Amino acid sequence: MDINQGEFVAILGANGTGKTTLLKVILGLLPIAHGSVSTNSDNIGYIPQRLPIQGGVPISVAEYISTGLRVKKINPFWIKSFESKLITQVLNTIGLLSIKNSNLYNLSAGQQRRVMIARALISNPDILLLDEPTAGIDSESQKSLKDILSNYKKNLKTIILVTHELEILEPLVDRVIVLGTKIRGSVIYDGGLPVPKHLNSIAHHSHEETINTKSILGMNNA
Amino acid sequence: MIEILQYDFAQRAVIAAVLIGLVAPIIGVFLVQRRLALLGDGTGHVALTGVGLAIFFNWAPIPMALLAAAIGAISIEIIRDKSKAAGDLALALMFYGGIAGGVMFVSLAPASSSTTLNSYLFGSLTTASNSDLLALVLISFAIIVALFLWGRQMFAVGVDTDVAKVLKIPVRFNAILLAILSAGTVVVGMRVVGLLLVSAIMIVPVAAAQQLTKSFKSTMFYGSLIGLISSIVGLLISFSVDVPPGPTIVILALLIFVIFTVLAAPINRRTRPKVVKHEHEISP
Repeated sequence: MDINQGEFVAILGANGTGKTTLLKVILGLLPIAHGSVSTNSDNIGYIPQRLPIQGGVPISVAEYISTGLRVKKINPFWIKSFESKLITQVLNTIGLLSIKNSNLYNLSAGQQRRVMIARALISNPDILLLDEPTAGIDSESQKSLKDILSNYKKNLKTIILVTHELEILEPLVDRVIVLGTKIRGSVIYDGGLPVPKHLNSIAHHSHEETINTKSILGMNNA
Repeated sequence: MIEILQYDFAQRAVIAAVLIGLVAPIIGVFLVQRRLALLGDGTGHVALTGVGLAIFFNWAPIPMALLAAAIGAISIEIIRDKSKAAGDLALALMFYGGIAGGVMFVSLAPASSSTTLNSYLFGSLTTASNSDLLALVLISFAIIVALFLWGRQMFAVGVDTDVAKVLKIPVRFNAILLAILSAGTVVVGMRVVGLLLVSAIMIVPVAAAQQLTKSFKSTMFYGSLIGLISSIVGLLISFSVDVPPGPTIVILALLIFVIFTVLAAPINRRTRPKVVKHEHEISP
């Protein structure tokens, strides 16, 4: 599987087909038994599906975003003034400057997702990987996410997206890769939108937990 | 009460109390963030075996306690990394093994007495010597230096291990570093609060502070302040009343936790809706 620079690729498939596993393999978070992964840049941004469970210590939005900065190995945890400016800049870009000092865990799911994106974008990565970025967030946040990714794509950055629901992001997608159910990790479709009609069954199978199964694989346009 | 501070032992106790009050919550905030609140407890129990060995062989207790605590903390971290459930079990085994080993070795020691054991279990005002105090100052200094050098990494690993790995942050190194720093903190607190309660001074001030704070940095700052106030006031109370300092300090910290929790409920009710409101204000 080759993904070209500047491409916006959506990886789709039923539950258990290995979408997130593939993402984690690309990120180097999981070992691979066969084959290899090579990228043209080490500057990779990753936006996980959700915030990890924490012990309850408040974290400000600025502090959270600071963990995405590629800093020198030796560094105290508090934010320096030049880093604060970068954080202000990225929050301004995504329209969340007013919550810079708020507790991340008191925000809505949509705001948290946008802050997670800001954390990934602050180091201006060449490759951006997103795991289910639109799941469980309100329509306003979904629209905001679309705008952010649309601007990001204009800079010839590569975006790889694992998702159940293309919906609002569909106009940005250049290529869709559908993973099969019979052999875990097998590619049953690799091409542009709209996807062939026979994949509609996979769409229905894979999206028991989603609301609109038809639009997920772009079937509205098929 | 003021007259007692003219004595060397009291001055040493105050310095030790200031050190543990300041340093313990700083490490505690990292432990709470990673849901490792009981790591200090496990480490404290293992340190007791180190103390027991030191008393048995007539060695200095602080280096032995530090060594045992560090080995215990690193072992828990390595096992926890392999499996969370196994890490939980390993922690329990260390609780039992640590305290059993400590009590056994102290009992076998020629000059053993329940007073010696109690002074390590619950803290004692009179046991810290000048060389002990120097060791405590050095360990505290090392903890602060480590935070200056690797604080960002430790924080990032605590926030999201997977993202930290993607950013090429050495996750294993940071986990072991935190385990060693926890062991150091346990040993610093051993003299004042005692090994059984040392973890409380790491965790309770953080639990109190986080009721009212909005950031990691402010939680660390106010946690340290609460730790400092509890330690000094608790120590001064134990000078006047015949009670060991450890339980007094911990009860004070718990009292602050209860007060902050009660105060936090109405404050959080007022502030939370404002944050949600932002989304509507800024959205097009």
